[in-house]
Amino acid sequence: MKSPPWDLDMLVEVILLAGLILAISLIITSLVWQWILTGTFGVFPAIAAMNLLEYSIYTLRNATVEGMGPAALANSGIAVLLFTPFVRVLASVIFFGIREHNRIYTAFTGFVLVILGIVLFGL
Amino acid sequence: MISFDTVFLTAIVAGLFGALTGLGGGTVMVPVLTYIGVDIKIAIAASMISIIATSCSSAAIYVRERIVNLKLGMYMEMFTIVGSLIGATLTLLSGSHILFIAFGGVLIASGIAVAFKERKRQEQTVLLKDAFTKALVITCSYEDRAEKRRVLYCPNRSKEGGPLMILAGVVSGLLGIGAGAFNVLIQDLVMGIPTKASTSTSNLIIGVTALAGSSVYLAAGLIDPTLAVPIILGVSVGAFAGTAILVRLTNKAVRRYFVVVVILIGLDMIRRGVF
Repeated sequence: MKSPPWDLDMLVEVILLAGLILAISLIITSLVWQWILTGTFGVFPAIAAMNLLEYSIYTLRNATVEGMGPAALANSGIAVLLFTPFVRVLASVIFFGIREHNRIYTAFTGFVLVILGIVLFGL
Repeated sequence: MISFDTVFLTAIVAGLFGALTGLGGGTVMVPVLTYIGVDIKIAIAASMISIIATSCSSAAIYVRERIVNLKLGMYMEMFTIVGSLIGATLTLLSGSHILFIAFGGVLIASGIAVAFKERKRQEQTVLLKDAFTKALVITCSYEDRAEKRRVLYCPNRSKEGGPLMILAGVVSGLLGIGAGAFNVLIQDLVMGIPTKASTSTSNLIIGVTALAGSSVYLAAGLIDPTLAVPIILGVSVGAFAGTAILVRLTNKAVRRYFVVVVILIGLDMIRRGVF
């Protein structure tokens, strides 16, 4: 039997759930790891003022240079959570632009994407 | 220093309470965090991130049920993100006492809005579309599994409703709340969207709105992972439990009781801002 074609509802549902599950998993793993190492929960270093792109690079650098630890994992979880609605908007732009050829909604979602791109990545 | 356990348990209670009142976790989370000694701006920033988590889970469920009006939501997001950026910037510029007063005022207004929504008679939406809404080609129906019927509706006055959503965005960005009560109110009263569709669509919108506000707080260095981590987990657990309880909660008076508590917290926030 042929599976039904993907539509926007399915796309949005999968992106939101996948992002949330990944983020929560990273955060819970970071807490368990920290508890194993220190016997306490959830004291993480403060984050300096930065945009999401800088925050992601900072988290990746911490994980690769200093080695993955509970703080880097918790920061990764927060970053994934922040990226999730952005990815949903990006997917919507692609869906309306390429699949639906819907100029109105490509423009609407594109506007949201551009504003988010500016504030999140300093574009 | 406030312990993980305290913030986590507080967040569970806030998530539970937010779900039972229908106002969302942030509405209760921020005042409660200030009661345990967290600076209001840090509390707002942490709450903002937790909204993204609750939005992802609830919107995904509603989207699966095909209740969310995706096109309408994506149209309105254009306005709410602009409002959220303005609101978050205002928070950075405002003194704490102003934020306390604003929060108190919004809590009271939200409580009244929820109470009003419960009293409002479910009216059959007139199946008319204005020219602007027609041009937006917005969907006009959803399957109501509880009532076992297809609900037909027709959004109207999108031209007015969209820009009004800037206000909901400002409230969200300013106070670190989803401002779902305002989203729903605008959709209900201005655009004629049935409550179920407006509530679920609001859940989708608040995620992107909160992301815009969070970006301002992240850039200002107000996001504290020590606070954000237990809040994200706690509010998610509380909201999940609250939604499960709400399904079994038939007595509307119980919900009204919670709304009264929200209004009382609002009055106390104003008192703390003034004195």
